[in-house]
Amino acid sequence: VLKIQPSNDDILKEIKFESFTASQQALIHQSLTLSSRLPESLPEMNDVLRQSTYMLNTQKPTEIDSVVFGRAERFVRKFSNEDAVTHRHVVRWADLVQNRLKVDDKIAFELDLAAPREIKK
Amino acid sequence: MPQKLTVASKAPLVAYPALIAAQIAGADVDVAIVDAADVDGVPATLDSVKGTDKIVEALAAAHPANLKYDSKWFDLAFGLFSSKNFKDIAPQLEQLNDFLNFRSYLSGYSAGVNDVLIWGVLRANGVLGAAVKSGTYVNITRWYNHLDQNVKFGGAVQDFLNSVQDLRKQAKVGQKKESKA
Repeated sequence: VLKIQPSNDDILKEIKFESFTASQQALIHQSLTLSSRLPESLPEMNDVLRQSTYMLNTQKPTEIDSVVFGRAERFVRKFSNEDAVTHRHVVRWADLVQNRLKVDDKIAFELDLAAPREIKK
Repeated sequence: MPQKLTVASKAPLVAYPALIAAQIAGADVDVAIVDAADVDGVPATLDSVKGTDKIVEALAAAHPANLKYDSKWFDLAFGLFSSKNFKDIAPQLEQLNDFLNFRSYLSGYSAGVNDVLIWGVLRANGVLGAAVKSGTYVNITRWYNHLDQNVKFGGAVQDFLNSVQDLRKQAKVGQKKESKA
């Protein structure tokens, strides 16, 4: 089980990129680029996670979920209800990741928060 | 001795929930395909158990650790979501979509039996399948596609469909041989 650490980026040194498919490698690049520009990139991250359960569209969390969570956590933790609705897919993903990976201090999310239905763009 | 799960491949609602539930339960089941609209008047039978809902119930009773379903999802799957009238279902789809705003699965943090029930029925129900694929319900679409890529969900259905195709090819070869003779 991957552990979330304050400096998750250390995990990056151990990632074997060649073990991922070409499309996953593109997603890795996208995930790392987006998460290096937080919190400005929250809307883009939200768009990615609207369609993808995990960052790399896998069935289980990967190292990249762990790294991105480590980078996003301090912003997501401070979310107001309004922020949570705006970035609902980031919240969904963060809650999934913190429950699938070992996290010491879980963020408390309100999973039944009323959120207006999103209209397809 | 393995149980025998017989599935009608041309049923209006193919018994995907039964097929997936058998896998998730870890039940010792041999799958037989009948290329017809029904088997004994129902979409599927498991030995003497008739009907998709009854089969899932029987599997859950025999494998409670792996298949502990929530009656709310069970009733929704085999009630409204089995309807082919889209107008009946649209409000329920909206509720399901809302439920998935902040959730990745129907219960907990990995695919479980409640996902089996709803996903299996959506996969079998063409009316719903079209609504899901159109992307109108963004959360349902994400959840649906995620499970479609899961070997126990989409994978199990694909294996089944491949077997149906093989069966039809064999039937054709058989017919040709007969007509030559």
